[in-house]
Amino acid sequence: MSDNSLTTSSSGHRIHHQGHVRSLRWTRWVPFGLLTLGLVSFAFVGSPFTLDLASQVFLASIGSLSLMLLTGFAGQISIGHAGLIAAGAYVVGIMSREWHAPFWLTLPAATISGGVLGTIFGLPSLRLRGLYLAVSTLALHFIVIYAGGEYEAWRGYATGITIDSPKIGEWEISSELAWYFVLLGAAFMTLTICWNLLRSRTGRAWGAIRTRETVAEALGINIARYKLLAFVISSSITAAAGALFAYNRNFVSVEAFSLYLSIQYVAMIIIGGMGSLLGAILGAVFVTLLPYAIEGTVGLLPHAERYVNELSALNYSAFGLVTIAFLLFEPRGLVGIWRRLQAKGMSWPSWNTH
Amino acid sequence: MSALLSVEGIQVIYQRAIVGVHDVSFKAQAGQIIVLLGANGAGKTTTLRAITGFLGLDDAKVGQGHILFDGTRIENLPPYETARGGIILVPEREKVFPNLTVSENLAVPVAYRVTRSERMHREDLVYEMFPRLAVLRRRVGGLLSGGERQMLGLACALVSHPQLLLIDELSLGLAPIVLEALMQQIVRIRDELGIGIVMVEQNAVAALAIADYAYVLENGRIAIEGLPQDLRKGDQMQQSYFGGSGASGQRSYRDLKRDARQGLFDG
Repeated sequence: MSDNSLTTSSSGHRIHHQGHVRSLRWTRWVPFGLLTLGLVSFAFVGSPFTLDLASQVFLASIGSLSLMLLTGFAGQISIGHAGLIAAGAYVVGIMSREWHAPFWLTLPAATISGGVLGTIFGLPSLRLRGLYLAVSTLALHFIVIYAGGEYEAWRGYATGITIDSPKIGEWEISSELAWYFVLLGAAFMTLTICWNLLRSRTGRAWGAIRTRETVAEALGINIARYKLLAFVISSSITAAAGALFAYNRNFVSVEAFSLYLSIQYVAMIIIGGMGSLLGAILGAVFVTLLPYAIEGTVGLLPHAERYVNELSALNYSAFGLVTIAFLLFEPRGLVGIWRRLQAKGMSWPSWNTH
Repeated sequence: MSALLSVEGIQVIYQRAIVGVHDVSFKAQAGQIIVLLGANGAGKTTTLRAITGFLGLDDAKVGQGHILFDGTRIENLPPYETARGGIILVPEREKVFPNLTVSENLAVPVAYRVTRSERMHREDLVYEMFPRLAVLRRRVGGLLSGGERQMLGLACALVSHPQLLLIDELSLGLAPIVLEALMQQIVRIRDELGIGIVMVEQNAVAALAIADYAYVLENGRIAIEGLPQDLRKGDQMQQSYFGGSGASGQRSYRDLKRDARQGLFDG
């Protein structure tokens, strides 16, 4: 059959794909503009503490967006996320310690090594699924942490590696305000990359693989390629987030990248709402701020000082309970709640796909 | 004239031990509807999987024989390669992506190099063939009815411009009136697009009504083949397939069991 045999059966019948949607489009930018205005003005009213808190939220958002890409859209489970963050952080730590490499070298290097690790640890996904895949990604976490720990011991950095703040010319990115804008920009860039990927052919292929792998293959999708691509892109972004984290804290140490961190990221995408970019961000906000909210609430109680020692136990249990509650009562996450409010008449943007 | 698809004496072995299909040969030309009939476990779906390359999923492979598509051997190629080569399968049960809209479903199979305008063009053409899908194009696949899913499955296959369309159990779970309409669409696909179609069917009556040539599989072998009108009249066919209103009368349950046992052990 020739390529034009479908074409020859064409008649005048046409369906307009875009139609009236375009005329409504500008209104979608209004809330977006308000949000930008809010974020920028927050920079000038926030205290150093709240600015740092916001920076943590932005970092967490980058991490949860990249995990959402992998799990929520491409359907591949990973609990090795903390390992990739650690890998990015260690690349920065080692490169700046050993060779005094500037950030414009360490950041791409961290991103690339994340991609390489993603390829290696994406390979099991071609054979394994679900729990088995999760366990194989767990191996990634332990290998990276082990390697990092060995490096620290070998060089005698018993407590961790200190890193100088990145410099652009004479300007050093070290104040909370500077980091606020750097990480806000990085988070926004990540969101844009994810958003565009999902609207592209790659995003559709991921959506197809996630639900009906064999059907996708019967229609000519190279499953292996797209799965690996998901791992590579997600891991690169995650490692870049790790690199930014290292610079932001001026410090790298294995203790920062426990398995609990991986689980926190998984919780972010569950609590936020699987399969939604907005969900990834809402989940990052929620999980990052939860301990502070608990601390604040406890502080309001009479005789607050008595409970100080119990705070960390309280944090862990609250985190666990909240995650379980979402799985049971609102599997669609914060986005699900958001949508319901929207349906009740709130006119807010719906800027996530699927 | 050489056939578009030529299956030559294939044997399919599951897990290096169990023979699923013994010796199946058939041909399909462009612009022809070929129907493969047979009872459950006769080897119809296995044969389709051998053509598309999906045997690997079940740790099976084509042990003997060849499959030629357009003169090239394709047995044991991975599914996405046979699909890109122009052989598209509409699977038996799950055939749409429940999380994607109808329009997005139709965008999945289109090859990488195809431009956006060409993609839109192809989408419009299948909407013309299945107007119902145009109405539903923003609805997600998971909310479609059985008939609509079948339409979308066919439409997804068509937008990738196949040379050969393989359809597994079109009639499964469809009301007779819906099936009738879909069968007419398949005739239209054959006549207007001139592509080859191989259908695997349980519903022999509906399938023979539109077939150009038919094969009946039994225990992993081609038992009967012929023009549909001959098969409908044939005694052997009545006996082995329609459950025996033919000359030899009803076959007992014991006979059926014996046949099945032979089928299982004579590999």
